[in-house]
Amino acid sequence: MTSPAMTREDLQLLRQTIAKIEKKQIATFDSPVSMLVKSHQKAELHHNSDIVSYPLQSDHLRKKSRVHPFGYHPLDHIIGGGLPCSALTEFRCDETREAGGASAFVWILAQRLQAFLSTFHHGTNHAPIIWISQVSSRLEGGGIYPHGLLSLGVDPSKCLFIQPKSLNDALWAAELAAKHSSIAATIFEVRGNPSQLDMAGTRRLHLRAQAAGRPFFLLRQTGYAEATAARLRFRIQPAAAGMKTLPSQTELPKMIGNPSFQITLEKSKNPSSKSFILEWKNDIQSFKFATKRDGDIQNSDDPKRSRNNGSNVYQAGSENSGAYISPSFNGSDSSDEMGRIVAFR
Amino acid sequence: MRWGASWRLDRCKVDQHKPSPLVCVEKQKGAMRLSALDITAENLGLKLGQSVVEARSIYPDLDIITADHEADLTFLNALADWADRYTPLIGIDAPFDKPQGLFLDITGCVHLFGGEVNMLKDVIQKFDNIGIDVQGSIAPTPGAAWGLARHNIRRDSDKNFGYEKLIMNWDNLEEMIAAFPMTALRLPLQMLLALDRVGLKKIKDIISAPRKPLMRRFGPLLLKRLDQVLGVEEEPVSPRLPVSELSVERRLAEPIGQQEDIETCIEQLSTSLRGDLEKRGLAGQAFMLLLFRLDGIVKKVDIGLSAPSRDSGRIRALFAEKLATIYDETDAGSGFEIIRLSVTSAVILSELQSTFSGQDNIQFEIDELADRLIARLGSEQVVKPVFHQSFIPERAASFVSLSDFNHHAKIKGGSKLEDGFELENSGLQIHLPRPIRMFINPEPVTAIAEVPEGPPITFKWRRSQYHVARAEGPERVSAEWWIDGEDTKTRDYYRVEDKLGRRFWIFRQGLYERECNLASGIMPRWFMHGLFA
Repeated sequence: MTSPAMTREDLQLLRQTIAKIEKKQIATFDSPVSMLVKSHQKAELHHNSDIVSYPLQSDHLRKKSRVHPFGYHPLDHIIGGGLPCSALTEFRCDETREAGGASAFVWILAQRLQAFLSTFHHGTNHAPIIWISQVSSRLEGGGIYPHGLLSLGVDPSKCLFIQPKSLNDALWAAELAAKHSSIAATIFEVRGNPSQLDMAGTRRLHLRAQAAGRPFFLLRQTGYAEATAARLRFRIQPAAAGMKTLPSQTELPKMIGNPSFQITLEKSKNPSSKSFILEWKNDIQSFKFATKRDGDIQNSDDPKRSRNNGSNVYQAGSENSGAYISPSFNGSDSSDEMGRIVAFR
Repeated sequence: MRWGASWRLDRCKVDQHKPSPLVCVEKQKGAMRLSALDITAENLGLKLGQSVVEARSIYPDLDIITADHEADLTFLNALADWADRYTPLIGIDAPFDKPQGLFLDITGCVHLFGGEVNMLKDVIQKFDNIGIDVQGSIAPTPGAAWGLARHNIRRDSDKNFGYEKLIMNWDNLEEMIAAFPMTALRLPLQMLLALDRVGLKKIKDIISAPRKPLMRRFGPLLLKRLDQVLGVEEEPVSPRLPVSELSVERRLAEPIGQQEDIETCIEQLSTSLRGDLEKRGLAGQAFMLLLFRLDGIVKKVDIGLSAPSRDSGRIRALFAEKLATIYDETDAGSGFEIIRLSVTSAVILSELQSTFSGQDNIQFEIDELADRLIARLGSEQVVKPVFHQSFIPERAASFVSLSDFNHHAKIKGGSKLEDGFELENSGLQIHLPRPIRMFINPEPVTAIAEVPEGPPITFKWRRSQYHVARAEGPERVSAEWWIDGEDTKTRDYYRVEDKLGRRFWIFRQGLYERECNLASGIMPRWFMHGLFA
């Protein structure tokens, strides 16, 4: 017999209590305005240098806790300053046809970290981005097109592509790459949720990335939300592109502008299902927070989507989230929720 | 060494009763004739070139095998691999495409095996132990050794056979050769018959004979062979395998079979190789590992490095990757007795390997990572993008293996390359938006456009329907008629965004009016080619 599912409010309350005990502040997208403003100021203070350094516990942790900000302050604040440079970070997209956006987003992050790294360490100009992809993901979602990388501002000559024949070879290559500190970032693309990349498998990758002090991105094409050892998991959905503007600031509504991504932070210390749209401005190499445009309104036509996009709703699939509605007792629905591995930290 | 059918040594038969003679037959001059025979058959008076019918009538109990030169060559190659333990210079003796024996160039190797007599004894006995009966000899020239091995025959029954009889040196070379029959000269059968007809039966008959008439009558081969036997004309043994720059080996008292043991051994060997490489100012680019199994089988493992190195840890790691994929402990059987590590290709490295500037170290680490990936996954799986001068999107870029890429980068130093690819983008198409993911084979879609030459308003791809919200285009790409032919159709590329915000790259192949004929049903077709960010 299952117990009644916790509602969102209860869970939030519990989180706040825990935070109070741990004497930490909890940050979410729903936090009071004053806090957001505070975080804004804090971030802006450091933002000028483009490197946001957050308080560190001790010196030996310095390497581990280096982060790279997205430039969208509420997000940066929630994830502790930005994207961690020495950790496993997961990304997923629901469908193969969304793989374009998802892989582009990951490539952009990898490229930013590559640039970031070369300012940090002398002599890492040549540190490559390593892309490892499973055969099936390449066949289904298409191969990476070098000219497309150029359009995103990635230098293809500083990338190394690994195309192993089997998943086990790919995992081996990923683990090998993860422990190398001579590379800028590793991206590992898999299709779905193979059993080798469960909690234990992702933990191996995370620990290696942590030890090497380099970012490791796991991109799951058509993956569902599964317990993971990654500190952060983003879900990437398509979003209508930005407007093309002429130098005279005239907007061209019929033209397709900068690529945009609808991002949901599915897993973090302060998970939230609120999604937001980031627009990548290639000319200035930075993300811009975008408001929802007309193009996105259609999203609500799709019942599955509207449920996931609702700002007050915790996704049923993500860890540590309350159920959207109380599940029925003794029903067949709740059975598959039992015995699942949940990553609490 | 003698090559014949006599390698099948059946001890039981020898002990119990007289073995039946064994012969190989082959079609020669329109009949099945003997092409090889063992000692028993020879003793019975059978001869090479005799027809099978005749031989059978002489001795009905004949054991007949059809000759298979390819199988002989395979077998001989395996023996050559095995014999690699004595010298790296091994040539296969295969006159007229008939593999007959092995030439071992043992110059400078003799002292390692305790002198010529001991070495020859060792070779013959080791072959005997693995069940192969061989005839061998040592002589200053390959031709003399060939003749000696075939004419001073060691009988298996003769326990006190003097191996000294099988060894020639420069002093007694001419004297011994002179006593041999003409057949010791590696001549074709017809020539032997012709010589026999004029009464020239022994080599001494032609050594002092005037050369001009011989030349006129028998052609240049006879005198060439004679000069080669006597060492007047140099005859190099052409080695079967490229000779390695350096090699080190270890003979193990106790055979090993565990993978870790082999790896430890590799590391020790590469450490000892390092000093030699340093002395010569070289660094290894490719290495080969030979594992000699106790039962005579030799395993070969090759690795290549993207940057030359002498580092033993790195060499070990690369072999470990390779062994991890191909090695199976059951392969080891009774274990490996000799392990040899050779440098198959080396480059001159003028300065010391370790530098203190950070950049080189990073490059070194990247090379090391790449080498390990290549060793395990194969060089085609580790690739880098290159660009081509083409407007057809799928031809504008491709992936080449990292080793090719580095090779070209090193040779050219610049961005322009012979093979038609460039390491950097040439600037062609850079301003045009290109998808991040591209389907190698464009996938057909069914599309409906508002106006014939316009972008689609709705299309169906992979069994789902998409409604276009915004579209950009067309970008017209003409076909490369010089590759695809003149009938190839023009493509009109559109960048479309559907109502959910997914961006696609689709194209229409074929222009209305000009390239299509609606009346005869040739319609433009739509394809999905890529996914945009």
